[in-house]
Amino acid sequence: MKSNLLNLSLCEVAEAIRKKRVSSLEVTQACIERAKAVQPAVNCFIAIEEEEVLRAARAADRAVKRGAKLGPLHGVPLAHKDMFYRAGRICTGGSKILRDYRPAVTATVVNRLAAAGALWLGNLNMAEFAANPTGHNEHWGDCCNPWNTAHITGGSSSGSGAAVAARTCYGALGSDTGGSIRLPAAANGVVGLKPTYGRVSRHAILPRVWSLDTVGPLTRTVRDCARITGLIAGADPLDPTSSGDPVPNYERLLDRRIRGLKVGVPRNHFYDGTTPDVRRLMAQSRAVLRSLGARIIELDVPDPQHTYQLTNAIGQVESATIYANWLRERPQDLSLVVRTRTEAGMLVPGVSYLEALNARPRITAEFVREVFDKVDVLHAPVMTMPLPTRAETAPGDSGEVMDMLARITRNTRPINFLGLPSLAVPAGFTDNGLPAAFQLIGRPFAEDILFRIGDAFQGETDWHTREPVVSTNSN
Amino acid sequence: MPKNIDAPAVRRLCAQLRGVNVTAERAAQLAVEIARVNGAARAEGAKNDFNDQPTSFAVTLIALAKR
Repeated sequence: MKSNLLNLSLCEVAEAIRKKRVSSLEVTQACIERAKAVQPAVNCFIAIEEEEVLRAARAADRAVKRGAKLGPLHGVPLAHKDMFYRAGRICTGGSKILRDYRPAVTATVVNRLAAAGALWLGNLNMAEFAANPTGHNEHWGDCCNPWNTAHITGGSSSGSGAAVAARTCYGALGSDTGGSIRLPAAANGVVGLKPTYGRVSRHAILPRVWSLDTVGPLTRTVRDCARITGLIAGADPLDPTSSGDPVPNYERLLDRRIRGLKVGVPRNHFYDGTTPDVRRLMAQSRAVLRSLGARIIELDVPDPQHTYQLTNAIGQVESATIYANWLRERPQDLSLVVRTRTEAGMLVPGVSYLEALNARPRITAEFVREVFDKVDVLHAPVMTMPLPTRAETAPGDSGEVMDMLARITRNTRPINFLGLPSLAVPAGFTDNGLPAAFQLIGRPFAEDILFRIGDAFQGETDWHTREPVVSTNSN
Repeated sequence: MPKNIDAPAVRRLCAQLRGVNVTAERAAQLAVEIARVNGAARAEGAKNDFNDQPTSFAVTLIALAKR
């Protein structure tokens, strides 16, 4: 029974609670038990708030019983990357430096999920300061892939991807600055949305790079992702970079009818160096979309490779600013990856930083015109290779860090520079038995089209229903 | 455009400008990295217009959305 409960999607369990087929308490107890069982092997949690969440679940059940108006996530346990502030509650950012940090404010996205009735199960492991795409963490221990714990979870929203895949919660928030939602989504066989820059408020979340940071959900189904996105997106007076562009009812638009939609396959960059097994999975996924009536169109895209160093200009300067005091006063408490990715920013000229920022509108406009005037979405692998092991990607020195980053984030980082939305959707397993995913990239504020295509794909496939067998206390 | 930036100068400037000490070896790595980043930004900057400003990006994204 518990296993059946934990395999329900977020939307299904919300409906079950609403219809009184199951109580929030029962669901939450199942999540807590599962979280504790997988934690030794996966290390996806930094903290499980058992007493508080059970109290909240009981309150949720009382509300159901008295016939109160229920939000779309009423009584559903979620867990979140440990970088979303709640006033007075510890938020570590996956770091040593913020081990005891208690912010004074609460993130807008946290408030919006609470208003929808969601419960907070716990704080999820992450790469320190969201600065690593693998999931290594020298302060809190590495998060390990539930499909094979020797392999990376992807990062930096490592715990978010692993916790959702391991069935410890029904969804999780993450952040994506260079791939940090899409990579763990792909690595763990779950769905992850990097929204358009400005689509979702960044108020009161731990910053990594102000000009590139985005917030989005990781879930097991596209429908679940659409529901959460609809609840957290939209203008926020507390975040002046958040967009007032209207938020569609993403879930209501999921009709699984994608006939005539044009799916672009880039001939350059995104498939370069792709291994045969990843290429096969991508081709199979496109065949599914074609069978549903989508048109598959190959095209050349403006080479995004040159945006990589521009992204470094922006990212290094902004993160060097955020960590300036710690670099000076406590460098020994920052991990190798954080120091390595930040130090150059101290001396990149301000003019160069601003030149990179000023180039974004022109480069993005060119990309969107060349691509999305011809196709509705771009289809590309999230990673061009099978998932590596934690040992293979643990950098020994600074010289290895940047090379490792470049390989893993090759297909994700350019999309952050361009500010475009991208949805990672599970597409099967590579030859080493680990998950792989495609990403659907759209023009700005086209999350609705990404969701429609992704949901249609999941209507014809079952990759998202596969469950990892995790070594637990009981087996 | 210089491909190399003076590594000892990088080491001195990290300390003098930012109060951060880096080893000579690390300064050499940073010199390469800074040259690469700076070079890319300068090359792209040469195509920018003097009216460009960082806040234009948000407006651009809205303008590029499909209506």
